[in-house]
Amino acid sequence: MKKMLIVATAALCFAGNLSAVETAGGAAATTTAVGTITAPVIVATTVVLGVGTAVVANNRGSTTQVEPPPGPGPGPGPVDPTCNGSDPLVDGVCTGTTTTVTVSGTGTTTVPVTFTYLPTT
Amino acid sequence: MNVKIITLIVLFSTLISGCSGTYHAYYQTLKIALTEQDDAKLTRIEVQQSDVDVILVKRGERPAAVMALAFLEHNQHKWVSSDNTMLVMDKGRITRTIGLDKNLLHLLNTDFDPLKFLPKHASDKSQTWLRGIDLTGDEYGYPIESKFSQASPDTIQALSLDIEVMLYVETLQYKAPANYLRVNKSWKNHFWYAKNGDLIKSIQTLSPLSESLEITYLSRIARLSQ
Repeated sequence: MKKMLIVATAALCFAGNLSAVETAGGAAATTTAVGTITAPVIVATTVVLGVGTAVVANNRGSTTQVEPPPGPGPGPGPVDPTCNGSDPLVDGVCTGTTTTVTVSGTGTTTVPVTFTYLPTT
Repeated sequence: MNVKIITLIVLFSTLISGCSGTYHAYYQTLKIALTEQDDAKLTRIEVQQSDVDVILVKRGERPAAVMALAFLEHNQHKWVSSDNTMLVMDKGRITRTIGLDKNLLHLLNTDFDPLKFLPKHASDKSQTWLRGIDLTGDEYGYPIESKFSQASPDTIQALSLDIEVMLYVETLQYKAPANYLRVNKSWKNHFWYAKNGDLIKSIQTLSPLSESLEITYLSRIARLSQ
C-alpha cells in the first residue's frame, strides 16, 4: 500500500513538473512581448492606386483664371498752354503789352507797358 | 511583381513632376504605404534566456509579434502582447481572444475537442466535432463542424532548427444558414506536433471572416534543442 502511495505521489510530481516547465510571467509579461497584434494593415496596392488616381485627376483638372476688371483707360493727355493773341510764351509765362496814353499840357505821350500772366491750359 | 512595377511608375512620375506641395504629399503617402514593417525576431539564445515562455504570432498580413505567457491556470495558457491583447488557449486551441477588433468570446462543447487527445490518441481524431462560437457584435452560437485528417510527417524550420513534426489538418465547416451568398464556408486549421508530443506550431482561423493566427511556440522549440 505504501509503495502504491509512493508511486502515485511520484507520478503526481512528474505530472506537476511537466506543466511547471512552462513559465508564466504574470501581468508583467507584456514587458517581454515584442510587436503588436492590432496594428492596422496598410494595403499598399490600394494606396498606390489611390495616389495614381489623384495624380491623374489633378492633372486633368481645369483652372479658372480671374481677369481683372478694365481700368479707367488713358487720360486726355497734356494740353499745350496758350497765351492770348500773339503774346509770347516765355518760360511758362505769357507776356502781354498794352499802351498807356498820357495827355499833358505839352502834348500826348504814349508809353508801352508789359505785363505777364499764366497761360491757359 | 505587377505591384512593384506600378509602384515604380507612380514613383517615377511623382519624382519628375517636381516637388510641389501636392506631389510631396503623394510621395510621403507612398513612402508610408510601401515601407515594409519587419517581423519581431528572437534568436534561440534569447528565447532560452527569457524568463517567460514566448510564442511568435502572425495575425493576417501583419508583421509577426512576440507574445509572452502571462498566466497558466485552469489548464489554459494566457498569452499577452505588448499592446495588451490576450489569446487564451486550451491544449493549443484558441478559446478566447481579448483586445482584437473582433473577439472570440466563448467556445462551446470544448470537452470533446479532438485536439485534447492529440497526438497520443490519434485514433479519436476521425470523429466529427461540433462546436459553437460566440463572437463580439452580438454573434452567438454559430455552429462549426470540424474533422481531423490523418497525420502526415512534415518539417518545420524555426530558431535555426529543422524539426521533424507530425501535421494534423482540421477541416472546418461553417454550418449556420445565411441569407446571403457565402463563399468561404469551409477552411482548414493546421497543427504541428513534435515527436515528444508538444504542439509547436499552429495556424488557426476562428471564424470564416476572421484573420488567420499563425502561432509558433518558440520556447517549446528552444527546449527541444536542449
